[in-house]
Formats: sequence, structure tokens, C-alpha cells
Amino acid sequence: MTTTSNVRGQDDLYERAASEYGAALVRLARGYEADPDKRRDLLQEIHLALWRSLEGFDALCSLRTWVYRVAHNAATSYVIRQRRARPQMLVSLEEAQALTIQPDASRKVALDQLMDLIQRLRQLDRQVILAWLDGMEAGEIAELTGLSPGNVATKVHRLKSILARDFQGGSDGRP
Amino acid sequence: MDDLRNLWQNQEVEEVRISVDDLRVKAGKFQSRIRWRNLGEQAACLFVITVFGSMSFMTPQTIPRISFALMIAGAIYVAWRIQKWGSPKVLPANLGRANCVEFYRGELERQRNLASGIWKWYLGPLIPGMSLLVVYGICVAPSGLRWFPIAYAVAAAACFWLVGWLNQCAARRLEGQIAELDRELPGM
Repeated sequence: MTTTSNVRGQDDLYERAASEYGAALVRLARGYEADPDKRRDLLQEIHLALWRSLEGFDALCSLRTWVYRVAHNAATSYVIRQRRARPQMLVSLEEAQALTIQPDASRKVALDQLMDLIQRLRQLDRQVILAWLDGMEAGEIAELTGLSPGNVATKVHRLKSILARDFQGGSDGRP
Repeated sequence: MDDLRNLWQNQEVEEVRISVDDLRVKAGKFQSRIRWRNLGEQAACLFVITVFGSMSFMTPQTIPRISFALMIAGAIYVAWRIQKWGSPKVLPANLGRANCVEFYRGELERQRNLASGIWKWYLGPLIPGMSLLVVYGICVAPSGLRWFPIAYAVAAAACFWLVGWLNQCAARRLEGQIAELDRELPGM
């Protein structure tokens, strides 16, 4: 294997990852940063980290798991840096039950409130909710996060109970 | 629940396309920032060596010479530690291999160690040389000018204390986050 073909492989993998998961990465960045300008920087940081990481992609896990790991880890590093500069109180899923979200919210309002909830969550809870919302099942979330499948199932169950109560009208298509 | 996932997955997102060439340029700039940062640290270290080294040669007294040599040694040690441990802003290369828990805990520990060890790796190595010079200054200064090395020592001690205190606060905050993680994930 030559160095050129390695680089080519890295570039091709990145192109594939960006085209398949680009929108997911935007959603993920939204879950970590509310400010649009800072979010753009975070997203660029994630893409750069992804491209650099793909040089060492060993296919021991799926490309999707790899992409999500890199993105969450890059965003985690970003959050730790931000929290040093702007310490803020984050809540666990248990504590998040006290947050009130209007049950008759329109799509946009529901999405904003969901985003607000995600951005207030502690790191691992936030990662679980983002992965679950993006369609991952418990086994994949466990592989991504390193949590035990039982722990993930508990978190997802808790999450569903919060969201079932609070988001009954969230996707009704109203403006 | 599927409705909620649909709401999330079908939200309008801006299309972000970053070409590989752009990424290569960004990676180049990133590497160049690291190189400049390292060069800056080496230049600062060289500056300390040059200034204190020449002062050491110009000073006939033994004790100031020893204190200058200690300050040079301290500066070299600090520069070496910064080079070895890296800046907290540098992202590790194993982002895709570490799962989220491993990475999160590792980052918290790395930054906690940097902050809590600030006296050992940053402030402490500079203290012996500075202290020796101040004590010598107090001993040899004419009684009317003795306030000068004392004022210098108080100002330097206040700066060191402030830097140390800020870092201890950061270390305590990070320690709290690690403890929180351990409570959440017993046995992991």
C-alpha cells in the first residue's frame, strides 16, 4: 500500500462520510452549541477531526459508529473547553424531568425546546439522546458511548418517558 | 416516539460541504499554529536563557549566579513540560477509537492533572531561583532600598498565588465532573 493510496482512501472515506452523515453532523453540532457562529466553528472542527481520524480507520466498527464517535469526542473536547470559560449547570436525565415543555407546541417551538433540553443535559445523557434521536438502537448506542447496554436501555426508557409526556403534539406539521 | 425522531431527523439543516482541499489547508494551518506555538515557547525559553545567562556572566557574586542558573533550569523544565504534555486545545488523534466514556473521562483527567499540577510543572520550578535572588537582594540592599526586593517578592508571590488559585478552582471543578461520572457509572 503506498502513501498516495492511503491518502486517496482517507479522502474517499471522508467524502463518503460527509455525504452520508453530513446532515447528522449538523444536527449533532446543534445539540452541543446554541450560538450559530460558534456552531459553525464547532462543525468545522468536527469535519477536520473526522478527516484526520479517517487515516487510521481500521473498520473494526462501522463507518457510522466511527463518524459519530469522532464527532461526539470532538464536541466533548469543545464543551470541556467552553465550560472552563463559561461554567454552567448541566442536568441529568432524572433532573431534566423538572423542565417543562408545552405539549401543544408547534414543530419549530417543539424543536427549539427539545434543543434547549439537549443542550442542558450532562455529557453522556446528551450523547445518548442525540444518538437515539438520530435513529440508533440501544446496541449501537452502547458501542458508541461505551455504556453498558443495560445502562443505555435505562437512559432511553427514562428519556422516552420524559418526551412522551412533553412532546405529544410536537410533530403535527403545524407551522 | 417515531414522530419525535422524524421531527429531529427531518429538521431543516444548512448544507455544509467542506472540500478535502479545504480540510488539507485547515489541517496545514492547524499544524502551523502548533509549530508557531512551539517556536514561541522555545523563543521565550531562549530569551530567558540569554538574559539570565548574560546577567550571570556579568555578575561576579556567586549567589546571584546560582539563582540565575536556577531560573534558567526552571524555564527549560517548564518549556519541556509544555512541549511534552501539549496544550489543552490540541485534540488527540485517537478520536475514532475511544468510545465516548473513555474519551470524556480521559480528557477530564488530562485537564484536571494539568490544572492541579500547576505548582509542580509551571510555578514551582521558577520559585527557587527567584526566591534565592530576592533573599540575596534583601540581604545586600542598603537599608533605605530594602523595600524594593520585598515589594518585588510580594508582587511576584501575589501573581503566583492568583495563577495557582485559578487553576486549583478549575481542577476542583473538573474533579467534581469526574466524581459525577463515577457516580453515574459505578464499576466502569
